[in-house]
Amino acid sequence: MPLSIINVSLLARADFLSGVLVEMNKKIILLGALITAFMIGGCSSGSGNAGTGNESSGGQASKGTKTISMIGWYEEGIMNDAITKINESLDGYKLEYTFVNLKQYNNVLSTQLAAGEGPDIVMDGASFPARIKAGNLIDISNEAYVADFNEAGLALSTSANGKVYGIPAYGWYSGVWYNKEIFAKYNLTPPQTFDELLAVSQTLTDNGVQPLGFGLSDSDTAWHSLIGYLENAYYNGGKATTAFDTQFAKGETTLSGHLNSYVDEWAQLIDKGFINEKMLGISGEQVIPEFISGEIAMFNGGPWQYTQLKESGMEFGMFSHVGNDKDNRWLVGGPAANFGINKNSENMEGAKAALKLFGSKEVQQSILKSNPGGFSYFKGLDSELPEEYSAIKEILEAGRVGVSWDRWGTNMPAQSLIDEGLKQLQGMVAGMTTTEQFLKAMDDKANLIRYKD
Amino acid sequence: MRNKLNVYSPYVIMLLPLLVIYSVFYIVPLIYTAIYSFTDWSNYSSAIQFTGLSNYRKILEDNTLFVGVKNSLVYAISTVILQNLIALPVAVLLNSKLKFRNGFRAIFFSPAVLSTLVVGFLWSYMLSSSDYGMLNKLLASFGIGPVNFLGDPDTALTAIILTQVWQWFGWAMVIYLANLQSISEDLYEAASIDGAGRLQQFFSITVPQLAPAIKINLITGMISGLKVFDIVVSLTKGGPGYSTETILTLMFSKFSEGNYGYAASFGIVFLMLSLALAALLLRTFKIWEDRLN
Amino acid sequence: MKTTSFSERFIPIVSFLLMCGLTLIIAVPVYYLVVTTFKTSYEAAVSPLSLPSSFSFNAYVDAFVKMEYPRAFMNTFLITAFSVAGVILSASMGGYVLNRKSGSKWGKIIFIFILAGIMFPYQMSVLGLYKVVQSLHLMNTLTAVILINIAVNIPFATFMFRSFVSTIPGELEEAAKIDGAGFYRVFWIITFPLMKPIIATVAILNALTIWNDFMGPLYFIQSREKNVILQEVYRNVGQFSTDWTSMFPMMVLGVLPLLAFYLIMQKYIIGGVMNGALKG
Repeated sequence: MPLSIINVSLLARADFLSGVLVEMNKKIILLGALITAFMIGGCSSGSGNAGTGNESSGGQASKGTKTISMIGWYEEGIMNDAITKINESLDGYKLEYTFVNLKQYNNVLSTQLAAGEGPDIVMDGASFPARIKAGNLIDISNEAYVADFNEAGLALSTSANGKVYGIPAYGWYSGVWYNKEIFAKYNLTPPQTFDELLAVSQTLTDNGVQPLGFGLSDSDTAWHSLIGYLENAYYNGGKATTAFDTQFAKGETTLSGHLNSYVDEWAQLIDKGFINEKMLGISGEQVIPEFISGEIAMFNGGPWQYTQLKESGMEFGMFSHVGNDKDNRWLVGGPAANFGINKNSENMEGAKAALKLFGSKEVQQSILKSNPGGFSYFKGLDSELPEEYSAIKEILEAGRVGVSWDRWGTNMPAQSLIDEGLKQLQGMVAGMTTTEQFLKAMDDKANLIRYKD
Repeated sequence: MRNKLNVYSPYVIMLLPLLVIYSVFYIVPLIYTAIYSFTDWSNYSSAIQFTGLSNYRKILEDNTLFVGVKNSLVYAISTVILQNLIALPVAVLLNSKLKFRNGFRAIFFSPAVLSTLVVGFLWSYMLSSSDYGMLNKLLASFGIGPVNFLGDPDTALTAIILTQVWQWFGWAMVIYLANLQSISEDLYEAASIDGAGRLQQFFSITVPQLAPAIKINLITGMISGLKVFDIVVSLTKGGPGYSTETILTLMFSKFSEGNYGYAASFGIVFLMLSLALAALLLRTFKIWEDRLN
Repeated sequence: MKTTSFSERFIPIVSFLLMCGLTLIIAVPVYYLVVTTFKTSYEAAVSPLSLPSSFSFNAYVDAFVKMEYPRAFMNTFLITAFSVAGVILSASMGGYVLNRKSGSKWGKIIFIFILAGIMFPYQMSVLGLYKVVQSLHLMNTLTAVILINIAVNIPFATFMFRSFVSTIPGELEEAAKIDGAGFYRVFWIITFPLMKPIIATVAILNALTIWNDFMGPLYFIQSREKNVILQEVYRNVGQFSTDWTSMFPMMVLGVLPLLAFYLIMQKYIIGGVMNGALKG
């Protein structure tokens, strides 16, 4: 056994033990001292940083300035201007914004809030109602700036009993990007009804062009397509009204049995092969190069892709999600992030001052500017739309923007239901799931996650 | 040896740093989790209530758990087997006098230094079924494909397993290499005098002598295999459908949904399952080793 | 005899070719990672495997500046170094005691208690951990991340050290004691230096996991000046799109120190893992 070899050599060394002891002593003492120094250094540098952290990052912050903390999933480039504007007017406080990636954002914020900590200014999207429900936020109904926002913009930040806990950053929406050159080549016009969308897709397919690009592995483009169809055909142009979702959120009705025929109608996109299994292995981002290179004619997306498309030099435009009534088309969208104040904030006065500035026209304008194509819920603040948006301009101006999951969110963590919906949609595309199974799974999920009183 | 525990014994003092840090930062949070598992705590409730075993009952009714357990087991067993089937012969070859063997060793180990984050991004692009997916482009040049690696429910789990074999077989190889160096040359010389061929020597000497390395590779492989979740999240998010969900991705999504109590009970069930499995493995190895000796 | 000499000559060639083939499979993704750093995102998408049209290190320079590399590197390095040192110190002492006392009942119980920690990923008890860190007032400190890393990696390291110690004969310690050395002295002067191979092994394994750990810093460090390389990499993942041209160079920059560390430690680990990883 090799073990014996080691033993022999070790025992041989033991004979020279006293000599070894002297020789090793120095090394060991040195090593020990080094490690101890490291450990002490580590702890003190760790806690040292903690003490000075707030000041060092501020740079120009003077002594006596307290930090108002805030985390968010908007890239710093988007928020910088607004944060700077707020800091110019904040007296005695400094607002510090930290970016956290959207994939982890929800868990990080939830953990902090659950432990009774968290940032002074709470930023959240679809989960904002959950924060209200958990009592994480303070009531701001009586603040004057709340009145500057449209009612639609406060949909996510108003509780069931009518109290307001937050204000929106701006309004987002999604539609369908299309390649103008391809459309011109085949004499096509942007579809205004679902039947026209099917027809356009068929013409393109017959000419060897892939009509619609979807990334189903990680992105929710197909989900937007379905939800957009339902928003047009069911909630606003069809049998039901948006009140259906409020009932569903409360558990008074089910999706299954009501939405089946509408989902089936939309699923023609799958039946006809416009959405296919290949798309399950593609992410939403991976579709964009194919759209830019002209292999795909249409692509579900929103203003957030505008810059990338514009920079490519292609000719493109956006049309709205479609239903059956071309005069009553709706975009999918709603308030983007909402800002509120953490109930456990240790700088309540500062946080209130900062939120008031978030609700000012100047800051709202700045946020809107950083999100080109978006719109504002601040009364009297209009956005300038580039000509690519001409086909949806009228819809935006009429305020025909809505999305079912914001309505679900009043009584459940809507993101969980979206995730479930995406999974089930993947199943439908893979041919594993029927419409009924899809809707049933959504109902089951909703039953599991609905808020209990 | 005495069985008595003397608090002032130097043995106890030397154990203290380990016990204190481990207890405070590992066991205490685990106890919290165990307690939460009996409550209805969620991110939207302001008060916590004890609900007894109802979370555990809910798990039994949750039909996704079965999928998760099945996928975790399939994943753990397949990665362990594949990794070792590749790593063992490769290690034997790299233990012989081969040109550039140090270069080969370094290259084979190199994927292990990448974080899951990097590996996830890398492979999701390479396995993409889009026309620009690297692997499909490669296959197309041989006239094969396209294969929808991550998008087809039948191949998605296999694709994930292969990326992890790619990343970690180098680690298993290193362990085999180390073990190989402790095998005495005398054993082989004696065997070749007896007229045993190379293949025979491999099975009659190398493999039994590698028992310690096999043990460490299989056990650590199984444990980390059962714990898999971040690579799944970054490659498929458990999709398409539920086809690649593992126990921990499911637990993590319960956590994300804000059902802390329910998620905690998932965690405790997982802990029990993996402890049972580890005990089973260790027992099996003991029997094997006893037979070898 | 004839066949033997034939195979003696033939086998190395075949094995060499096999290894080359395997190298190709292993290296292509790594090549892809590196080559992408020299391309625009469009070029990377359209021709993923081709050599870049121009070799410019601008992307690296930009990434270096954008991710505040020296700072991010220093934080990652501090966390990794102190965590690894902490794991080695606590687990070597603990593993030693648990081996020498493996016959006693409490030694067995404590060992099983520690082994249980191998099974359960700590991320799953992040809420409890958050409470612990909060009550110790360690929130937003590197110290918190370091202590968590030590606790999380203790079980496996203890397991390795405990096994290794069985290859160190107790006679040595006895001899030293006869020479009049005290208990701690014997450990630090005789036993600890003999653990070199297993120390190298544990150091590499832990350096890999801790350097690449994202969850600890994500949950327990809030301000940017204390965040680690992976957090900087993740800053490129925006709400709707990922900045690949920045991200890939950052990934490479993040991994280089680790690769260098492995290459330096390689000779120890090969000698080391088995010299005791699982004897016993």
